Amino acid sequence: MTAVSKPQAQSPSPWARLRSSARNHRSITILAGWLIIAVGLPLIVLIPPLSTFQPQSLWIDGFSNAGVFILLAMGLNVVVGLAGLLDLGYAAFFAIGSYVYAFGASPFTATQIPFWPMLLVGALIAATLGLLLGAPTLRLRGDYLAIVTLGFGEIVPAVFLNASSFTKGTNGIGGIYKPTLFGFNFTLENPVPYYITMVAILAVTMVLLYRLQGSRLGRAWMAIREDELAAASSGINTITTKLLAFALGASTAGLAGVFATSKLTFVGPGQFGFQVSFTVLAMVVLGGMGNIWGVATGAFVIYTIQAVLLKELNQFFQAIHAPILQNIDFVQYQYLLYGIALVAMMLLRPEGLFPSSRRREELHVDSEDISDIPPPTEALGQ
Amino acid sequence: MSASTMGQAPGPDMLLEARKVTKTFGGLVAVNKVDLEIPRGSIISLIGPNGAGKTTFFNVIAGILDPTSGVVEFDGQQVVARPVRAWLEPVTWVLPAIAIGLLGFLVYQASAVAGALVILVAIISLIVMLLAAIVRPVWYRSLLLRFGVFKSARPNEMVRAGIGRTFQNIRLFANMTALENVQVGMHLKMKANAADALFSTPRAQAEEKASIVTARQFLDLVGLKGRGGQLAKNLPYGDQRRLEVARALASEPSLVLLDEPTAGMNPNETRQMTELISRLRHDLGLSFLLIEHDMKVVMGISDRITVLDHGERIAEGTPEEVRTNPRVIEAYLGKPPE
Repeated sequence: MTAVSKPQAQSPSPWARLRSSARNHRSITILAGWLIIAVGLPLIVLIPPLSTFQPQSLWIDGFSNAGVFILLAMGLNVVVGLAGLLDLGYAAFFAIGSYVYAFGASPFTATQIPFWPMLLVGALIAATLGLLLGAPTLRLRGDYLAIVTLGFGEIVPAVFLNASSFTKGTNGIGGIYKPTLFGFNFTLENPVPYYITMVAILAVTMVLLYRLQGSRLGRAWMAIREDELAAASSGINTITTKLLAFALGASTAGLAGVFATSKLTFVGPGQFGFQVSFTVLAMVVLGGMGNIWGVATGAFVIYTIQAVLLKELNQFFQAIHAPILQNIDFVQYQYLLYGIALVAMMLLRPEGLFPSSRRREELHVDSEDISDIPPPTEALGQ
Repeated sequence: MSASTMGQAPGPDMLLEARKVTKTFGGLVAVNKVDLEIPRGSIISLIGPNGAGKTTFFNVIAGILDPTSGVVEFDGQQVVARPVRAWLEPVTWVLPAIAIGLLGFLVYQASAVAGALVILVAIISLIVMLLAAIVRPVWYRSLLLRFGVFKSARPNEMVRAGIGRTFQNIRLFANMTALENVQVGMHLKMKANAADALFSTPRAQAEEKASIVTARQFLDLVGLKGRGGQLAKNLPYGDQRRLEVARALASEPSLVLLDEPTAGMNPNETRQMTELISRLRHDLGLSFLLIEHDMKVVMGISDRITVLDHGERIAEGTPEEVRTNPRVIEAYLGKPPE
């Protein structure tokens, strides 16, 4: 490899050194990043404007819930952002993961499989169903694909609703067992174990997704997104590659479903409506399709706004008796706000808040011999 | 580059043979009984006025369109033809499931649990066969052949067989770097699967590094040295054409289909492209099929030329024969006034 270390007069600044070593050890960087976030977030909410909204334990609880949506957004990012397959029925796989855990660990089925293996089982079953639901859509593109996936997204909760002898229908399955670890029981009162678990899941998932993105498979996904025919003519089996994108996206949603259900201890068909798919898609678009950190940030921001800030906004306007504004229930208008945000994004910053920065390693190595671009006269054939 | 071994691999002298290829779209006969032979290591050109059916013929050879009739053989193997007994294919999906299901029904009479298990196996085998029909692995295709079912190779299977191609209107992966474009072209030469990527195995890491080196060599080969980090969409037009050639070469094909490789290029770039094609043929033993409108290019490098007009082959021969052929002149310039 011709990875040239540039002859530099002065030694690189510590910041530049940090950046280059972060590029070379991406997995460790991601894990370290999550560690900093995991420690930092609970401390940040102790600072006055945030600490007045709600107590720290509620914040931490909210962060674990936000983590569920970050997981969902990172999984959907594989399907929509990398492979370019617009999936409007993503909540179906979230539902499948949730019900898998409900069947595996609830008094309703009188089984109690531990939480940790169920994470894997939920992901695997969701991935299998991702394959099966993805298969009929392979010949479709763009709008047509979106409509069919939208249909699947409606069918799956409808099945859970109507197969009432297996799922207790609209009542849902309650009393689902919480995770335990070496005799330690997770409880509703203490949000910290859930928080730590969520951060660990997120960190590992992100490392794996980054590895996939930078691999031969990730390139194949991007190639399909850019031009499917050219991808096929480069030797990519577009069908298996697309199916893998569906399966991986679905497995991440399955993981999120298992976690969310173990935390909520209840699952019902009403939790997986179109608005879940839509919210997650909005998170992906807002964060910047294709950029994993960006998507995660987008998910976090939207969830926090929706779960905390809108409520605070209500209380704030009521407290200062603002005319008109104090009568508006902002929580009810959240979809209107999403819509406005998405339209604004499309107009002002279509690539998302944090667009995927192209991998710079190649540019970095190649940039020194960029001087051999022919002068313009030569390009004009003179 | 290991392509040199591919071009000179033993096999029939004819690398590609198209016989009586016909393609109709509804009532329109786009290609009518066209024959074409590409000997190993030769440069064959396909010319004709606009709308003569050149690109349609190209797409048939590349596995994108199924011909209405006719056969294309590559390296002695039939790769493209009208599907034969395609209706039998769904039967092969359900046969194993039906057989196992019947067995399950019989077992069910004796023991309910065992029967249910066998029926479960039947359902799983049905799912496996359906997925196999979608993915079409090698064992599935050989199974189909045993039933006498023939289906044309898909574009990606044609690449595996050894045909690379470029497109008339450039189809690069616009938002990927030039280097990544070439790396995508090397897709079939790389082995790392999803599990390798997830666990970042040493094998995958080494392969990834090696692929960057090889991709740079391909970029150097077409004259794009040092442009690897640029996004494909930011490259100038001529470089985009060259990048497309590099991507096609990256799959290490023995036959390269070039659809108007010098369209929109200035004389200087055209000359470079012509030299590149001659050099690749000479050094690596590659064969080329060109569609081209620039007669200087066509007459300069072609071994033989096939002329299409209104979907029919009106002439075939060496550049000199074609140049003086009255039917060719008529097709291009029209009939002289009586």
